[in-house]
Amino acid sequence: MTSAPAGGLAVEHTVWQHDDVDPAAVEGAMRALERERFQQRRGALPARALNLIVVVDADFTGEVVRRLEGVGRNAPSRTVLVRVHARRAGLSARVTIATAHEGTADEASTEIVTLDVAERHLSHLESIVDPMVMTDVPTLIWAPHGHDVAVRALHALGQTVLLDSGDAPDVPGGLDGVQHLIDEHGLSIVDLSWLRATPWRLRLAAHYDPPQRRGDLWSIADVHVRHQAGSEAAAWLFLGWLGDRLGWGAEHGRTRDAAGGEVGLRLSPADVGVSGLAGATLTTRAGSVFTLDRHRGGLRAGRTDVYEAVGEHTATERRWTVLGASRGEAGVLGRAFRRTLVPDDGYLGALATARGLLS
Amino acid sequence: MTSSPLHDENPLADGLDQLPPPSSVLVIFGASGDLARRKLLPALYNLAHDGALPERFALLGVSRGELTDDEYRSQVEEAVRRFSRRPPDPSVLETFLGTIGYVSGGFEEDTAYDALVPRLKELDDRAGQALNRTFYLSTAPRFFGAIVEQLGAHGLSDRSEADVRVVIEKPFGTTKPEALALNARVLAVLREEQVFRIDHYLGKETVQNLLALRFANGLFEPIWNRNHIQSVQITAGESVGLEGRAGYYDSAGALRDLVQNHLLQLLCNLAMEPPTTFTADDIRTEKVKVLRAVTPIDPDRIEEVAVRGRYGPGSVGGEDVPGYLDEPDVPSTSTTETFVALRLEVDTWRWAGVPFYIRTGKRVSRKLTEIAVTLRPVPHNAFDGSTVEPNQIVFSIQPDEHVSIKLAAKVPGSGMHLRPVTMDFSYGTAFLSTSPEAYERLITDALRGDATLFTRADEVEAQWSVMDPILTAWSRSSAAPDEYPAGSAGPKTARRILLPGDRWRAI
Repeated sequence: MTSAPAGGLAVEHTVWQHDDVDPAAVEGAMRALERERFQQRRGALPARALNLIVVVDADFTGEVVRRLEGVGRNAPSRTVLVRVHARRAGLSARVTIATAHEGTADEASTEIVTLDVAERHLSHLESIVDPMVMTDVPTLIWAPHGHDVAVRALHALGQTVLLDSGDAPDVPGGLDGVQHLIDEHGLSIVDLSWLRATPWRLRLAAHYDPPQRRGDLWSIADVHVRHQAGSEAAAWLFLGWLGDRLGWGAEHGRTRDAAGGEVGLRLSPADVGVSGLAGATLTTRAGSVFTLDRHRGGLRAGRTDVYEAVGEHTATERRWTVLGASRGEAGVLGRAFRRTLVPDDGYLGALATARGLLS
Repeated sequence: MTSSPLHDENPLADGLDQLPPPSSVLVIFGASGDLARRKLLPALYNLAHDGALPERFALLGVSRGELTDDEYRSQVEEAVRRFSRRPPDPSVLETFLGTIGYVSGGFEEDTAYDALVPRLKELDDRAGQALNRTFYLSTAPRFFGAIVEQLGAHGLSDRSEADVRVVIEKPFGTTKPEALALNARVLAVLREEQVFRIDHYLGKETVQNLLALRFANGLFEPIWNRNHIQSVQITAGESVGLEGRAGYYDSAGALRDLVQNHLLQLLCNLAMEPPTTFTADDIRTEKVKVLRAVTPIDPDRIEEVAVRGRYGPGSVGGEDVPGYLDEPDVPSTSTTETFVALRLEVDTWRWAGVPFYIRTGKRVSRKLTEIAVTLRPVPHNAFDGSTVEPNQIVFSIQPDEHVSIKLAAKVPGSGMHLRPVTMDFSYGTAFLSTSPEAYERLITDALRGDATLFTRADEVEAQWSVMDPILTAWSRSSAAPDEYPAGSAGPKTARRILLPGDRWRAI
């Protein structure tokens, strides 16, 4: 079966499906399909970059599948999609091998295994999924609808959990939950709320990179973060990152910088129609201001410099656009998959500091 | 202001991916040319899309055509829409176009530079800071020296408060004396660290990966020497013909077009010793050592080590195509080579006696760039009835980026029959994202001032030292290049330079 070319890319699908099946049979079917694919197209190599195990409520599978389809070239090499039904007697499985070809000799095929399981299977999900996961390839676990039982069962199989700390009912509880996963299960975390702020962190770091501006970082008096409603966790992680990098700490309900000066932190919601941050403003004790806001074609930047000369207090203000496309939720998810291959050094410090600031 | 002991470093940069380059103006000379349209402008758009351009960025195009800023922006928009690797995002494209201006003038005339100076100052004023300036010379090579001199004469070659860099496209000279003279002109105005001589092959992921595979894997380096390696073959084939570049190509030929720069760079990456650090100068110093160790070719014995060819009529992709001499704008008296095969030796402890075969051709059977390292055969074949072929490690650079290792394996069945199989590592299957275009990487490196993937003055001179004896020998000969049919693997005479036991890989 060949789907219509999308963006110059033709995709061929090979499908196997069975009810009341055991995991070994699914694994056997996958091997058989791979051999078949290889015989049909010698250049079609199975991709070997990332396993993704997704555990979803069966009734809401479509929404997750659409999100996965949106990541395009960043698709995991093998996705095991576990659809959880309240009650179900046995397992059903469907294996799809998709081979994308763009006219070159090398063609990568990605595989999707869809498993229908009952809730009672979740506590031993690792014994079902294990044969279907490629060995020696990083494995990412994602349970967007909760299913903590499944995550705990799979922790020995996967090294990394994909989550969105912003999904928790409250921010402190969400961040504490993430820390618990790290501490208790030794898992690495890829947090969508953290990744939504990646371009903001890069741009902020770049702005203060010139040596003549770095001094401003040590005299920040106030930070105002604007965020889409529901993305408060992203804002706190952003503040946590700043605080971690600059040595901030919480003291009697106030935030102090490395020299003991007070830093005012403000969060406010702003409707920009996209999850994540909407803007950030940093003000120094001398009154210099740097601000970034979501804007058409990139981020709108503004800088106010304050000068004092002969008792006169003057300020200059400049605004410009920092170029960059909004990646949307699909882009954030794709970035999350890539992050599994290249661990993020900054997250743990940001998480710890954010929890401290919230405490 | 509160000071901190960490003041010298940017605390926010730690743990992040590489930061965007410092705020800059990029000035492209030859802004309406083919390279700018096909490669530079789409690369810049894609960097803008990815958020990889500097915080404050402006692009100024310089060319002879009389255009307004808006007319040039229309040209840029057309180039991006046509050649970008991704469909442009309308809002990013619109904002990107808003950063672009145009200056009209001849490259050797004062008028262009007189107009450029206030435009650059205006951009600084608007940004409220001295922006770094990068001048990209994407012009015909005859203008390189003059542009640099004009930059110097107009006070644009250096500034105390920001960095000034000049990117120079290939070819850097057409002989060693020309390269020396051009280096002298350029370095009379600029310091070496300001000069970025581009070789876009160095921006390709697979070429950079050669160093990672060699120096980060215990598997390869122990066998990377004359004791284990029988031969090295570097091939760059193109199925296309001149594509409207007859004027340039007929004066250059295959040796200058591909071998002097790209293929010698591949040879250097493959043969160099591990650098002390992976800094620009340490890496380039090791490459220069390789080039200086290439045994000089004796022009009187050129036939033993070099073959030049020229395609005749033939068939490519099922279509009949004309021979080189029948191509539009090629003089009927031309003796330009469209195919080169060389056998070089790198006279070092590591490589003495190992032939390095280099081959490139236009209108060969397919587009292909690869390096094949053939290991010595096993000392004893215990498998009667089976020929054991030597192991081969193949680095494919284009059209696909992959590495394969050819091994002998038993054919399933009752007998002990062996046949070669391959283990493949493909970029497309081992990593989630695709490789960026080489020009995207090189432009950001130049804006950042990282010269690792650019050619140093002594490096380009050493490259020409390898090429000049071949050019000298060919210039003495009245014989025409050996003809090969378009769509073939090159002239049969290419076999002449192979050592016993060696053979060309299929193109």
